[in-house]
Amino acid sequence: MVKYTLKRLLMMIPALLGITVVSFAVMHLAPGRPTDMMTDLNPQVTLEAKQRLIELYGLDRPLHVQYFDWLGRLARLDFGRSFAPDRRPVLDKISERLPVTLALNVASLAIILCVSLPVGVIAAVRAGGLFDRATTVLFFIGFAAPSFWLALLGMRYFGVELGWLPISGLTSLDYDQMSAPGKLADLARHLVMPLIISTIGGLAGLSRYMRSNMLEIIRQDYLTTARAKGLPERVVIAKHALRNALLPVITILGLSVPGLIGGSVIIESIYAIPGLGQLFYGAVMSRDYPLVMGGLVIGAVLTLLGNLLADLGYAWADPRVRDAAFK
Amino acid sequence: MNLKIFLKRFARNRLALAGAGLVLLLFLVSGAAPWLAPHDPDRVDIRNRLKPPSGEYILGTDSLGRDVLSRLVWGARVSLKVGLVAVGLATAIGLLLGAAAGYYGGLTDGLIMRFCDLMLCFPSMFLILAVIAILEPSIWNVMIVIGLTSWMGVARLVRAEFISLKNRDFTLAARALGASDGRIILRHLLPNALAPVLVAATLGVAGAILTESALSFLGLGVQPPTATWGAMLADGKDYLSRAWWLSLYPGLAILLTVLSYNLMGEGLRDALDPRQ
Repeated sequence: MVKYTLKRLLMMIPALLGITVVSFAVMHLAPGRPTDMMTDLNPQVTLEAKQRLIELYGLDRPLHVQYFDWLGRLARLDFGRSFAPDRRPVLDKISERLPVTLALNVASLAIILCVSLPVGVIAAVRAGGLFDRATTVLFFIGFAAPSFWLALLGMRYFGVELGWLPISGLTSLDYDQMSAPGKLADLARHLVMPLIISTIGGLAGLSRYMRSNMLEIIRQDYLTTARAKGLPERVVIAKHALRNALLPVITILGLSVPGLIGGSVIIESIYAIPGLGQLFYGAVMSRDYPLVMGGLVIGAVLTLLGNLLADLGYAWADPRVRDAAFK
Repeated sequence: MNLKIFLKRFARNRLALAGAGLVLLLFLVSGAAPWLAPHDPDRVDIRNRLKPPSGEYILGTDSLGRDVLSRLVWGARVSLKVGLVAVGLATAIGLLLGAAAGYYGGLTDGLIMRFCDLMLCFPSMFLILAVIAILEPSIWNVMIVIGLTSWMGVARLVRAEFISLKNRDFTLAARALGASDGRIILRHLLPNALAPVLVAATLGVAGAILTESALSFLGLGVQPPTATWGAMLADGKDYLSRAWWLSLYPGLAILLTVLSYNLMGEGLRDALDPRQ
């Protein structure tokens, strides 16, 4: 396992380099220079000042020199400073927003798992039945509904019309005066809608996947054997089939990371949740290039880490995988 | 596969048939938009702003007094165009890279597939937003960027098909007869790999339409005054309690469109699957 982990970690190095190359290339597609945005809007900036800025950011040097310079700073975890008036380091801005986004995504992933795995299994065991057809249609509709639209509908009915749930932010205005349990309840009330909305679209994929996985396994010989030796159907499904069907789900979880992080842009900007998605959206709207570049790199690195965790989890659960890696 | 058998199998699936019917209807609506729309979609009429659905304005009017139904009908054109162009681009790139990787193997394959993995690392929403921010939002930029960030699935599919096909007897026979690489790829391998690509493309249109509507909702997609469903929802966001119709109908239109493409794609997959 240690050997496998090391091998897997080494494999990440070229991927990390690739991520920096793509991020750098994307940001230098622009006609004109990133500093134009800072200076064009401000008539007081003289040509000399503009030139000084260009030299400060090294934008007058050849692209490859700029890239390696930037890479060198990244290696020391220096993502540069934001163009926003506060001029704070990009990494500080991102790291204070990251926990919110991670917590939200882990929570919605947990809900997706708790709902779609049982649904997938039951649908497979009674394939073609009413439950199977009803959940398929329902989840398909959820998959097709744009999350921002569901969010708007939710805000209107549960927020405006019924007044049950708050429609923006993570906490109420009087949050600081609340007791500890009150604070927790307040936070939970704010999280209900964003969590449910960000879960709906993810149900279809995983439950369908689990269903087809189970269907495949139910036909296998070893299940016939288990039944033949007189095990009750419940044990056959819950022990023999489920274990094998669950394995590939680990990989699917790893693969769903980029979608979740990308989706947080929409959910967080609608519900005014101070997470990475909202930060990135703001950075894009105000053309805060260092922050956009940092967000791109961090977003991709998070995906890479998600895949790493999934692969390690899979290797831990299935010895065949870690052995195969050395053949 | 025989076209007749395929159509018969596809027609047996009622959901898929309904999806295909709706997609067809959508094409008709966008084609006939100028005749179907009861009003000019861009005509501003402040005196009639935020009017609830009525005889004259069947689905009400928006904050500038524009007819919601007419904007929905014209918005269908944008969705259709974005879906087709973005997926066309993604499919072309995926076919090209997947075919090269699968056919030539070795270093070509390694490089292309590593690039594919790399692109899959980026949350596509982040990548798309970053590029749009640099290039200025416009319908063409949206279509191109969605296309450039969604070819990876097709590339992997085509590569897998090519690897399984390139050493079959019919390929070897063609090569023995002196066919060039290009001829083998175009005439012998590609036609056999098209079925899964067709499925992926149909599902891809659904994804592209969803992405475009999200971008337009965020104000980074197709720019006003062009009517798009995403932008109409963004407008409705500010009148949640005063004008419910603004936030209901455009979303319903997106939902139905995406759903029909998905149902049609799943139906195609089942009908083309030889194992069934």
